[in-house]
Amino acid sequence: MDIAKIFGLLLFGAIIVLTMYVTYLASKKTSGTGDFYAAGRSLTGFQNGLAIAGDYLSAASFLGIAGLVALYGYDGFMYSIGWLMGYVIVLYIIAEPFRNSGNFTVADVISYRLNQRPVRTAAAVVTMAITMFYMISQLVGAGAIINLLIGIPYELSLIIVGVLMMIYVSLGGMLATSWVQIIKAVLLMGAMAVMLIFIAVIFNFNLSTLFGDLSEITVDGNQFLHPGNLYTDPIDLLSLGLTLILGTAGLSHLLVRFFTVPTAQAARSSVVWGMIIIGTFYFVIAVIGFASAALVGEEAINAAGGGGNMAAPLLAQVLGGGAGTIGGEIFMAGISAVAFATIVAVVAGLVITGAGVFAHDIYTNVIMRGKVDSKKQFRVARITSIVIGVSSIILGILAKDFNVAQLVTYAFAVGASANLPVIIFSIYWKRFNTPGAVGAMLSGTAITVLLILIGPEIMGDAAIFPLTNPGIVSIPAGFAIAVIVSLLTKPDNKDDMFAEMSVRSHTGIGAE
Amino acid sequence: MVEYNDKYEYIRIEQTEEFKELKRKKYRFIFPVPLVFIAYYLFFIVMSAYAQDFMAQPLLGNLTTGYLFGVSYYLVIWGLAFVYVIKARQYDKLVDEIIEKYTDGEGTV
Repeated sequence: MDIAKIFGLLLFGAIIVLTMYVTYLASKKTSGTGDFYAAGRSLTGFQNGLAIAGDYLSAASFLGIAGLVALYGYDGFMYSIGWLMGYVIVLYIIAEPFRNSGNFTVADVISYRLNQRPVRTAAAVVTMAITMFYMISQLVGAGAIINLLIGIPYELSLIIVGVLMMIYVSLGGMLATSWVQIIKAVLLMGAMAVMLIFIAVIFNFNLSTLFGDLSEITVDGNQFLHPGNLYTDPIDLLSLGLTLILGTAGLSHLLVRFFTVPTAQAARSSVVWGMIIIGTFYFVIAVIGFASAALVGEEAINAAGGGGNMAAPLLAQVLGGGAGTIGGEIFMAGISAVAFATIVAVVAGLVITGAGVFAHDIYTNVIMRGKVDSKKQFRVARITSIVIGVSSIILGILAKDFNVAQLVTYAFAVGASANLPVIIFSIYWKRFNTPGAVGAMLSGTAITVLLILIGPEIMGDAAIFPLTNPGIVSIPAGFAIAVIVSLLTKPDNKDDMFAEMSVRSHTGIGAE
Repeated sequence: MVEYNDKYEYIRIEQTEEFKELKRKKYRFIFPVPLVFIAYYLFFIVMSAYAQDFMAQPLLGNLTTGYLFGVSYYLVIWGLAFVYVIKARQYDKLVDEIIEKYTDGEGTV
């Protein structure tokens, strides 16, 4: 075995040992539901900002977007920008009132002043739909990438990722999950910084020099640096843009991160830190993609397989001295290890969100009507996280041949169509009622899933719905249904509860 | 953290002029800004689709209008985050005044 392989395995081992140690420390502090779901509200704004970045920046972003930019130039760059834009809505409209009015789950906020059981049940359906789309995309991506990077078979890599996240979540709860995400964010940003320094030196700290090298490349007869290489249908692209900008604020696993900080002010600063880190990430990943196009070249990237996913690791190899050199192989092994940490951290965040829905919303509040002691709920939550872990490994193995890049945008589409309207109206609109919320959540999810099923991604040329991205139809539909059903049905007569929620969400009075 | 459980006090606070003023000021800011920003972002996609020649004009060395336009989104969104933090501190002050005036300062009646 050569030095680089040993180094790569040592790095993987180091990441696993470090995260296990963090989980061990967290497990000693995790003794109740408040610890399990919300890390005892012990995170600072900066820590949670790192964890938000760790939760959000998936392997699809790190490897996939670098690949898209490297292969399609301008269109890949345009795609990379959309991922940060939704944070304006998160910061301005959602984060602080959300933090103030909920405890552990999205349904806590939505059901605050509506009828508990129907709303929690519908909210659970929405969160599970989002989490499932997101989870499958992560796991399928994880299996394929780990296979590509270190040659472990697809199924085995899923089992490794699955078992690790079950240990993190069931033993260490939200505290361990948060720290795994923080460690991942630091590793990822560090690795990218190193790559950026190498790139900057090669191109004399001048983006224009890099672009000069790229200006001769053409893809399908069009210049690489100009629009039109990947996206040909502007309406579909608008739909995708709308989905990304509105979907971010509807991602359940991201929103529950706000319950890990003690105050609305800390929630605010965590979004700002998150925006700084995430924005830097997407800007740098585009530069990495362009540098990969210039230094590795389209042919070699395509030859490595995975639809461009190897653009960033191959660039690391070139920067370190090239294939076969110790420097090159070590740099590539390092990037691969970081990609692995990236996957594990995102998946852990999804599992704990799913566990919260089943144990807190469905079991405790819908089935047992709140009559469960914290200790029992804590045990149920831990068992649930193991059940979710096992079933997602099975799902991931079954979904092996799915197009991952598209799957994750479906999670955003459900978030924007079914979650976002209900979250906004439940906080800000007095006349909003239970039928409006349940109707919007269920039909928003149903319309999104239906349009996906009859769209080109599933039905190919026989598609009834012409767009790959359903957002441009399903998002207005979700908002419209919420408004129309609310106005056509009787008010809930819970004005006192709206007053309470309103005061609590804007002032923090009574926030837990 | 503020402990507060009396339902009727919430209703009383909700109806005060100070709280209504806080909501008015906040809503005038937190809704229009994201709406304008969404339109600004979608404009980029429309331009990339329908004004490709314009987006492909070299502007700064080999960097074209499209790239500088794209990078502007990062600067604008960070700018908006900064503006929000400044604004939110003003709201925090109004909230502190409400808590001071209508609760015993600890948040309880």
